[in-house]
Amino acid sequence: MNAQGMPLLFSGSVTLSAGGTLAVDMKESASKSRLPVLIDEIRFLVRSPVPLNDTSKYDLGPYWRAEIDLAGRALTDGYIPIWSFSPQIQTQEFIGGLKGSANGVSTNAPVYSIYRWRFPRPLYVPSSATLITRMHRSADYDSIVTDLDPTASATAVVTYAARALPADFQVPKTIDVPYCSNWIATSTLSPDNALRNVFRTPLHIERFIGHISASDTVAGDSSIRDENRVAPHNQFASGWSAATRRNNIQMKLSSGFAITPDPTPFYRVFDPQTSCFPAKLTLNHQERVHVRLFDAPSNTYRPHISMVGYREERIA
Amino acid sequence: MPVSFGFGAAPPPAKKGSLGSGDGQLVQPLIVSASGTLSPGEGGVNSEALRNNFGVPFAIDEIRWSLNPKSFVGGAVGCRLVLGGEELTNGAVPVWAFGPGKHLDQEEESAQANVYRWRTSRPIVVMPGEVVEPTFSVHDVVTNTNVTLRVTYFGRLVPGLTRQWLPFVTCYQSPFFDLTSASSAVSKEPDLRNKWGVDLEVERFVGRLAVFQKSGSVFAVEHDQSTNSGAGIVNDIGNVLMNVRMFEGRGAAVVRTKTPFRAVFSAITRSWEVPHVMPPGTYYTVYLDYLGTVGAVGAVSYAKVKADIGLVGWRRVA
Repeated sequence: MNAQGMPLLFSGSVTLSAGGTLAVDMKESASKSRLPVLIDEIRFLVRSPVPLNDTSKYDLGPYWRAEIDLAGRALTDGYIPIWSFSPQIQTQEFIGGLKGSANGVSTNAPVYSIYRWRFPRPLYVPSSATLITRMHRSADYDSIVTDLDPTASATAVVTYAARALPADFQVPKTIDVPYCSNWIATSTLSPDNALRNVFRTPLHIERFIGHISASDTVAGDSSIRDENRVAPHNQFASGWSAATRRNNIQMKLSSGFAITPDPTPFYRVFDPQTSCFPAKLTLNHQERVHVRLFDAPSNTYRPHISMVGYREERIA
Repeated sequence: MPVSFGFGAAPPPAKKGSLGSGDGQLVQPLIVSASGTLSPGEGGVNSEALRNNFGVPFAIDEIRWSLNPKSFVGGAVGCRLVLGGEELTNGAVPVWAFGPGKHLDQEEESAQANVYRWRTSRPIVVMPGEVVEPTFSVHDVVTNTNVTLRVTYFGRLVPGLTRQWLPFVTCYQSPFFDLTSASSAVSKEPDLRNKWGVDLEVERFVGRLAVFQKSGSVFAVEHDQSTNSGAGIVNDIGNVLMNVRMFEGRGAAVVRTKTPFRAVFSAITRSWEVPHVMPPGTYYTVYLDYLGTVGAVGAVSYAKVKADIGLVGWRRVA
C-alpha cells in the first residue's frame, strides 16, 4: 500500500466528573511515522456517567463540550456543545439511545450520544503539528436533573478520521481551517463576542446549527433533550412539550442585513430534521451575527445556536 | 468527501448522475425488480426479470434490497453480484455492507420488512442482453422461517453509454461472538483485498453489527430503537464492548489502538467514508476484540453478535 491517501484513524478518550476538563491524549494512537495527514472528520462518542432508568431521557449533546485547536489555530470559539457542529442525519435512538433501557425492560443501561464534525474541507495537519481536542463535561445541568451523578466519572471517546499523505508531499502555502462559534442563550440578545469573526481573514460560513436544550425533572422523570426535534425524528418526544420550538427568533448581521427580516419560529429557521440552516455567507474581521429571542430563555428553553465555516490561513 | 487540494487521495468519484460517455442523453428511467422466497442456504431470484432486454445500455444508479420478515437484518442475508462473468462482489456480501446507512430509521420500512440501499457513485453500466445476476446466501442463524427478498435496480437507459468502471465490494464477516464471553477474531487476507490487477478506488468502509436472539421467534437486531427489545445491549456492544484495530497488509497502522466499533465505523452512517487508492494485491487486516461483559443490562434474550466490515470501491475496466 502506498501511503498516499491511506486511511488513518486516531482515537483517545477522557474520563471526567462534572465540571471537569481534559485534553484528549492521542499520542498512543498517533502515526509514529509522523506523516502529514488530512483530517476529514472528528467523531464524539460520549457516555452517561451512570446507568439510567427507563423513564429518563438523555441527549448528551449539550452536556459534553469540545475545544479544538491546531498548533494555536483555533477551530472553536471556546467550548462548543458537541451537537453544534454538524447537521443531524439520524435520530439518537438509532445511533446511541436516549433511554437507559429500551422497550420497558426493567434493567438500567448507560446512555450514549454520538455526534461528529464533518469538515467542509479536509484539514491539512503538518507532520510537526497536532490537533488538540479538550473535552469538558458541563456542570450546568447538575442542579436540574436528578440522575446524572456529578461525582461519577464518565467517558468520552474522540476520534479523528484521516488520511495519510506522503512524506515528500509539497506543503501548501495556505490551508482551510474549520471554525465553529456558538451562543448558548442566557438572555434574549446574543452578545457582541458571540457568533463573530475574530480573525483578520474572511470567515466563510457554511451553516448555522440550532438546538433547543431543555432539561427538567418531573415526577422523577428527568431529561436533557432537544425541543426542536420532534416525532418522527425523536421518537421519545411524545409527552414532551414542543411548544417552544414555535418561539420566534430573529437573526441579522452586524452590517445591518437581516437574515430573518421578520420574527420567525425557531423550527422554521432550523429544520427539525437536521437542526441545520444551510447558509453561504462571508464575515469580515469583527463582523458578527446577532440573534434576538422573543421569549426569555430558561432551563426548558435554552437555544444553542452555532455558526460553522472555515477561513484560509497561511502556514508556509 | 473528495480532497479539494488535488493531492494525496483518490480522485473524486464521478458526480452523481454523470454517466461518462453518453452523459446527458437520458432517454428513460427504468426500474427492474425480482423477488423470491428463500430458506437458509443459497438461492437466487428470477434474474431474467433483471436482464437488460431494452436494446440500449442500462445505467444502474441504485440497488435496493428488501427483506421480509423484519427478523432478517442486513447481516443475515448476503448477496453476490456478477455482471457478464465479472465479479462485482467478493462472494456473498451482507446486503447492508454496500452503502452507508444514511437513514437508519428508514431501513425499517414497515413492521414487516427491512430495506437496504446502495446508491452508487458511478453508474453500473449493463449492456444490452446482459444482467447483473444476484445470488443470495441466507444465514442459518435466523431459523424457523424463510425470507422473502426483493432486489430492485434503479437506473436509466442511455444510448451510446460505455462501461468504464465496475464496482467491487468485499466484506469481512466475523465469526459469531458469544455475548457473554470475551474473545477475538482477525480477518484473513482475501477478505479485504484488492484482488484485481489495477488500482481499486475505495470509497468507504462499512461496519455493522448484527445481534441475534437465542430462542423463541428468532430474529436479529442492530440497534436499540424503541421498537426492538434490545434493552441497551446493542448500544453497549458497538460503543464499548466490540473494539477494532486495523492494519494494512504490510503492517502500517490504520487504526493502531483498540477503538470502539462505532467510533471507527461512524455510528451515524455505519461507515467510514474515506476515498483512497488500494494498489493491486494490497489488503487490510482487521482485529476484533470483544470484551464479553454486558454489565447491568444482561443478555436478556440475545446470544450472539456478528460484525460485518465491508469495503466498497471501483476499478477501471476501460
